[in-house]
Amino acid sequence: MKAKSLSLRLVVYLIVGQLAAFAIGWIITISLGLAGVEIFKTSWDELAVPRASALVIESLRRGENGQIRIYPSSALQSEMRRAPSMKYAAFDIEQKKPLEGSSPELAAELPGVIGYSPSHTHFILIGDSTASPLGYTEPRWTPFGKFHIAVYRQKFRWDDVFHAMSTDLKWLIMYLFTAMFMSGAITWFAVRRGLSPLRAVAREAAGVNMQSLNQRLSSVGVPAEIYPLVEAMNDALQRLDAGVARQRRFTANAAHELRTPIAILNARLDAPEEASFRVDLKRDARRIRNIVEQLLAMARINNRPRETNERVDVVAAVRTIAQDSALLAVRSRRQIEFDAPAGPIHVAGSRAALEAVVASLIDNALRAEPESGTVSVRVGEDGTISVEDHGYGVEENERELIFEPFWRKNETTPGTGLGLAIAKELIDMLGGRIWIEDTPGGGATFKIALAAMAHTAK
Amino acid sequence: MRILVIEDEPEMARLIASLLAQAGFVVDRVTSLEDTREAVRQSAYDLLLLDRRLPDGDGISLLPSIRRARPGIRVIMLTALDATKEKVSGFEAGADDYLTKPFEGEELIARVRACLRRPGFDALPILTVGRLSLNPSTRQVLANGTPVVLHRRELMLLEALMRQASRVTTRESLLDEVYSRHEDVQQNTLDTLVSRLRRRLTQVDSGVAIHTLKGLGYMLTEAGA
Repeated sequence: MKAKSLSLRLVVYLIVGQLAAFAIGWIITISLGLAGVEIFKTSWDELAVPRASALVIESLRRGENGQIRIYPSSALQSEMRRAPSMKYAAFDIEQKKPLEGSSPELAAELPGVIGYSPSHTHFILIGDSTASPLGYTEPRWTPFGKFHIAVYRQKFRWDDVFHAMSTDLKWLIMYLFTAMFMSGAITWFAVRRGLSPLRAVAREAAGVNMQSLNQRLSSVGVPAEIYPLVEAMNDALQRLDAGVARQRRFTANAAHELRTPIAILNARLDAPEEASFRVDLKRDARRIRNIVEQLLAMARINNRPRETNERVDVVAAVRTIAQDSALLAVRSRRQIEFDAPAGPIHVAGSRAALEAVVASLIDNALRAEPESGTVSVRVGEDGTISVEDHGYGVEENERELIFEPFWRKNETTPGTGLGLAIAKELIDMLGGRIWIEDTPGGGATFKIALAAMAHTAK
Repeated sequence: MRILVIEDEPEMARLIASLLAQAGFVVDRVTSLEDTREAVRQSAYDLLLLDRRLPDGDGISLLPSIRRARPGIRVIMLTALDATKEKVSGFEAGADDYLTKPFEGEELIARVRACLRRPGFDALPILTVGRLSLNPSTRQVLANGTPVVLHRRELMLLEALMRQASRVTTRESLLDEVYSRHEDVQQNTLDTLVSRLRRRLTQVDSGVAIHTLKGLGYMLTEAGA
């Protein structure tokens, strides 16, 4: 499933992160101040200033005479009960005179300070000897205009932490906002820009089809984080390319292998009829059938790979094929003999595939075998199948080549299409091995070995 | 012996029919499920050669109703579907045998004979190979139209080999056919018997040959073909 935009997510994380950073920074600052570090120096009660000032501001009323004065609100009254020694005052900013309702001590002493129009002032009333300031005054906007609001000996309450923080946040919002905006914008830009090579990769990938599987996606400028993905895609392409090439080679090979016996069949039909006409036709048909059976076996394995893991009794399978080949052998004036251990030998494979390959090998051997000779078909104690003829054999240097697709013994003669390339492909699929040895006394012995299956034969 | 070939591919049907006719069977041909039902209603067939993929459905669907109508009838499925699963489903549906296309003519004939040889059938057609013929009902053997006298065991052996003409018959199955289980058979008894029969067949110019295939068994074919 597609996830949300990476840039968007990063920007959201950054905003949340910066808000958290502000809160943590503020808490550290306050903690240092409470711990007495000089430049941050503050006290718990000082944190109560914003709330206490707000209580004073909400208590401002216009009196009957039209003058603004302080009528302690119920909240301020209950705060006074909690902190009886608290004092508060409000001063007209123009006339620098205390409003009615201000605490007399503050009203008496502060006008001198207010007279200087300070931005804010921490103060201690004369007679209160203490190191840290107990009072605070500052011009504040109220519903009735701007007034100096002073509080003194206000008392800390836990929620003051939030009031204090939000007051400071108002102060610093622009720094925070600018930092968030800038970092968000930069992140957005960096991500977009950093991932832009991926758009090129995507364009390339969109252009990949069966005809252009040899192309690879360019990894130039791709960030290190994404590089493994592009590399993995290229590796996948490589495998697909190889697989498709293999399939194509196979199709071409199959057609080629079929073409040869069909050409021979055709020629036989056109040529003057020989005495062995019927047998020859039968042999041609058998050869075509062998190739088709092998192709079908392969198609089945490709569709159902599990079929390569059947429990196959090699002895029974090979005997069946040897029996089937007997008539052709006899009619072609060759003999066929079979030799195998008495009991079944089980290997892992596909019976249909194995039979198709063995049938093909036996037919090849019957063709290579001189007249009145005997083709020996054997199954060894270890399940190795061998098909032995006494023909010309296969040269040492051709033994690998003979299993290669398109290989023909002699380029000038029409193909020999022995089906060996397909046979090898099939045996490879079964996880087995097919090879050629010399028949003692001359000739070729084709051998097949498949992985033995655990001996549970009963 | 009457066989109904149910096959929609005309050339295939014609060739199968002529192959069976040559082996001495009476053969009818139909091409669809519909025609099969009709044919089975009208004539008493001994065996059906039933293709699975027919234009109006799977041949397998016919089996239950045909079995109800003619309980003794034999059915050989004939199909290009060769996956083991298909074979199993064919047998489960009540087929007596199953043959995958492409098949060899000899194999078809041998399977048909094997199928009809089971209890309940005795009028098997005359077996003919080369110039030799054997009537399974009367046990009479003719070479070039002249009766040939054979010993009982030679005759049993010949019949077994002729039924499987052009196909390999294993030593084990020949021993089963020719000797009773209680007889103590020497290793080379069968070989000796085969040699005797072979000599005999050559003497009467039967035009057949018995081949020994080491490790596989014996095979009777037309000589020199």
